[in-house]
Amino acid sequence: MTVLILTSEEDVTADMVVAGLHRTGTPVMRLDPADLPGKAVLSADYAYGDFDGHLSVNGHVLSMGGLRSIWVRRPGEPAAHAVDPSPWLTAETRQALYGMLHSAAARWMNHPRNADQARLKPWQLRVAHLSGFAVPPTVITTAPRLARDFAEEYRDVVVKSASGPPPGDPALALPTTLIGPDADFGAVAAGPALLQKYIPKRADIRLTCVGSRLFAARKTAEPDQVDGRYGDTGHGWEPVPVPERIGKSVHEYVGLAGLAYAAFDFAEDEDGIWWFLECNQGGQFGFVELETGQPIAEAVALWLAQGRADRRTSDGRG
Amino acid sequence: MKRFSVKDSCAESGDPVKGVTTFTSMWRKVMNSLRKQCVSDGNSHALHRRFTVRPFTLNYAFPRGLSNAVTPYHFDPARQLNVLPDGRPAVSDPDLLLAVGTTTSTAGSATHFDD
Repeated sequence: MTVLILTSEEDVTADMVVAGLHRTGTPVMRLDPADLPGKAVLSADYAYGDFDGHLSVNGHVLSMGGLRSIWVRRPGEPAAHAVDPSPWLTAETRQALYGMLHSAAARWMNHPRNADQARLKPWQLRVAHLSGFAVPPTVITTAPRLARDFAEEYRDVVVKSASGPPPGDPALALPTTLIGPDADFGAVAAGPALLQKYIPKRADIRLTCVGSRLFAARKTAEPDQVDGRYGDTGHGWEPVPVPERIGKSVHEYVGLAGLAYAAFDFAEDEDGIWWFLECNQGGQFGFVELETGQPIAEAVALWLAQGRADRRTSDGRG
Repeated sequence: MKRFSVKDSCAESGDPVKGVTTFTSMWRKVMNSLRKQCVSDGNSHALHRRFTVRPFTLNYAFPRGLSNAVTPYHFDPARQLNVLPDGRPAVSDPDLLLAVGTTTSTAGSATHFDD
């Protein structure tokens, strides 16, 4: 039974899991949807009340009957590397590939349906509430007056992007930024603004959840540091235990969200409270493992190598 | 329209959740003001004027300055992972991976925002 990893060739974090699967003798196929059609070949047939399908790339062949699990890691856009790429070709290839994979009885990390929902940051806040996390007050609004009143109530607030920086050239960074009530909120009317009460933190927490296993890492924050992803603080990531209450909330969250993998970001305040900031359903773990030694890749490989889902459904979180 | 409210969530401390703030009344005033504007303009699309203003959030974006570093490994299709010039898997050299920064939380953010 084979593990399918959907990711780009340059994704060296995926290598960490591939190496783990090799060590355990688990068959693996690594495919970038951008290489289909082209380097990769697909065929699926639906007849006699059932279906079968095959994928081949780089000399490796996989049949849907032998598919154990699917790791959606950093897949490229379908057909992006085609000789004559186009939005239509991408749409057709997406239908063919994901339609076939959805038809197979395999475990997903994470299932695309759940992943799409999990990417909605406003929805994340609601699930965090329901899971018992401490969540900073947040507003998402296109009303300048409401944005200003929010900032006046909480004084120090941060502005965040829900979807990340806009694509294009030149490449942009859009870090979480601290603002005050004196900001000019007029442009809020031109696009939804996500504002959140600023939590002065003494550390960033990154908690990676793989199935039922939790790995927490902590990095001391510099005074007035807002976005721990930007700037070199001179501090590194260190493993820390997961508080029992946090662990329960994490399991509740991934259960509600239908996720097999998630990377949570928390801000640890001066009282030691872990404030939920976001949950990244496809969050990076390479940097955490390299600095802390936590066996996250091994956990991912182990999860992928475990039993298969019920053939009647392709949702198998297992 | 769903009632708008802002609450503090204090799960760890056990403090009670605060009630609705002044946002509810302010929300109603804002929406009433917008409705009156529609009527006076005689234009049901008054709320949908074309905005040429840069969205507020983008005011805090800045050029990222893509790294020009060349990764010292290449993909081996037979082994399905990246290897160093001497044939060793790139993952066998953690110090190298840390140095090139391709496993950081912002690596890949150009195409995948949920890092």
